[in-house]
Order: sequence, then structure tokens, then C-alpha cells
Amino acid sequence: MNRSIKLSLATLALVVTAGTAQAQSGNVTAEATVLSPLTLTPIRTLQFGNTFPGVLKTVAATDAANSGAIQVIGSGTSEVAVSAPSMTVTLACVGTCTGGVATPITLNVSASALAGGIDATPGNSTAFTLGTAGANRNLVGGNLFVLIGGSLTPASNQAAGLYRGTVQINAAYTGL
Amino acid sequence: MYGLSVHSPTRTSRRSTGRGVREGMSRVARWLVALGLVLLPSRAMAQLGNITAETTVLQPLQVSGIWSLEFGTVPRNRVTTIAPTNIFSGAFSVTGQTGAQIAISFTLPTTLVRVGGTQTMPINTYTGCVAATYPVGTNPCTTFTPSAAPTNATLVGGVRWFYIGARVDTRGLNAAQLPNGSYRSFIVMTAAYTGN
Repeated sequence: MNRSIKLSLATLALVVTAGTAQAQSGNVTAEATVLSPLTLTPIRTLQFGNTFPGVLKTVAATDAANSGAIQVIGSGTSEVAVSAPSMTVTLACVGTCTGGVATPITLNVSASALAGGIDATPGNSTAFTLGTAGANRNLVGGNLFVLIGGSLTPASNQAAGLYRGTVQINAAYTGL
Repeated sequence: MYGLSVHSPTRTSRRSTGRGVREGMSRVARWLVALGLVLLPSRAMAQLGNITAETTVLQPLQVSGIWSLEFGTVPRNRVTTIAPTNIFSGAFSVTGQTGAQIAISFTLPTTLVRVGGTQTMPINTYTGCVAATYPVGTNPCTTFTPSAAPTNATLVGGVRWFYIGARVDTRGLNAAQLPNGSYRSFIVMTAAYTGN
């Protein structure tokens, strides 16, 4: 290896060595604002009133007097996924039911949701159909009202009396 | 002839130490991973809410056959009629929710069949009336046509009585066609709430 080649290699080695800089450190801040947790508050009972054995009775979710209502309270305009674990609910006899067979009554649930106001005032409400798969809606002013309706048909030999069941609604932030 | 020996470590060999990957990962990539841990959202745990659904079921209907439609002994070649207001008319009672409206309908046979035989006697021209009491004749009885579409009635006092008349026609039937004996069929009454 002649002298000129040796010199070039030495120069290259210096360059390469210089390219391996001393490690530097830096910091970034990670932060998050935790929103207020969702709360679900029952507002109104889904009330079918009197029903006749063998006769279908339906209460629309938009029935302001008889539909059930749950208020979802959260943060601002966050998006919330609302769902119902089951769209079928069983109503069972409460106390004494007489004059027939006190078999449970199947309630087929329907639902919709109103953002902003339970009164479904045009302009501040967005009704949508709620199924077991759920639906996403934004809170308005931190509120979402889920209205519950349904239909049921007592058996023709259904024992007379009060029947009651529970409709469950789930709500969770989507992160949006 | 000269050759170069090139060593290319496999992914496995790097993973086996774990060090290779970490060392090979740029600082930027590490920051991205760290940032990703912060930004990637996980769906929040669902909150549950319950409401009560309830209804009050009213009294179920009960339909009872109270009295048979009795023609008694009928001669051959004759039409024999029993009016619904006749004491021998058939009678049904319906009990249920006071004040509720019900719809009633009938399945009406067209023949009576000899008991223990196959001969038949025509029965037709059904008539009916509904009253608040039993037996018929103690109160006004409002007429209706049993063969027509379902008839609505209101359960005033939670009960109504339905009386059925008809006629049997033995004209043109000889002794072989209509031997002596008892002839019988069933009249079926169905009642249901209308929801009103």
C-alpha cells in the first residue's frame, strides 16, 4: 500500500469516527386530560299501563309520556357508544297475579336517543335507532337521553296483575 | 480468486438476544413507540344504566259453554227453529275485565251427526243475541248474526251472555237417511279483547 492510499484510509477513518456523535438526551412531556366519567341515570319508567291478555301493546320510544328514559351525563360533546345488551326483556309477575297463568311476558325493546334535550325539541335532538350493536352519538352539553320503547303481548290466559322487568343500557366513550 | 464473506444475521439471531432489535431501532422509532402508547386509545369501560318496564295485565277472558242448543224431538219433513231468546237456545258466558270491549266469533256446524252413526241432519240459519244476564229473557237481548264477521260487545259488569239459535231441516230425508237417534255437533265460540 503506497503512501497516498494509506493517507486516504486514515482520512476516511477520521470522518467515520467523527460521524459517531456523543449520545444526547432529550425529554418530552406526556400528558392527558381525563374526562369526567359517564353516569347513567334513570329518568322515567317505561310504562305500558293496562294491557289486555292476547292483545299487542306498543309504546314508541318517542312517546313523551310513556317511554322509558335514561340520561347519560358526560363531558362536553364527546362521542359515546350506546348499546343495549339485549333487545328482549322479560317482565315477571310482581306480588300476586290471579285468574290465569303468570308466565313471564316478553318485552321487545325499541330505543332511540336524543342528544341535548329529553323534550326532543327540533334542532337539539338527533333521534336514532338503537340496537344491540349500539350506536355512536355525541353528547350535547354533556347530555344524551336514551329513550326506551317496546311492545309486548300478554298471553291470552295471562294472569291478571302487575308485571315488571329491567331494561339495561350501556354507554361508553369512544375516544372521539 | 478472491471472495468476500458476508455475514447477515438472521432475525432469529437478533431476537434471540433481544439486543439487536433494540440496538437497531432508531431513537425516532423509540419515540414513536412511546408516543403510540400514549395516543392509541382504548375504549373506555361501559357504564350501565337500568330503567324499569312495567305493565298491569287485566283479567283474562273466560269463555264457558253454559247450555246446549236443544231442539228436542224433531219430526221428519219439518223445519224446527229455536230462537236465541228461547229458553232452549244455546248459551255461552264470557267473563273478563269490566268495561272492556271484546270481539266474538263462532265456528258453526252445517250438520248434526247421528251419535253412533254417520247420518246427518242439516242445521243452518243461526241467530244470536247478547244480554247481561242468564237465563235469556230476564233482560233485553241485543241480536247479532253469529255467522257474520266478529261481533264486538262490551263487558258491562265484567260479564256477557251470548245466546245462539238455529234451525234444523229434515225435509226430504227418509227414514234410512235420517234414522231415529240423537244428532249432535259442536258450536265453538271464540272471544278476544279488542284492546279498547
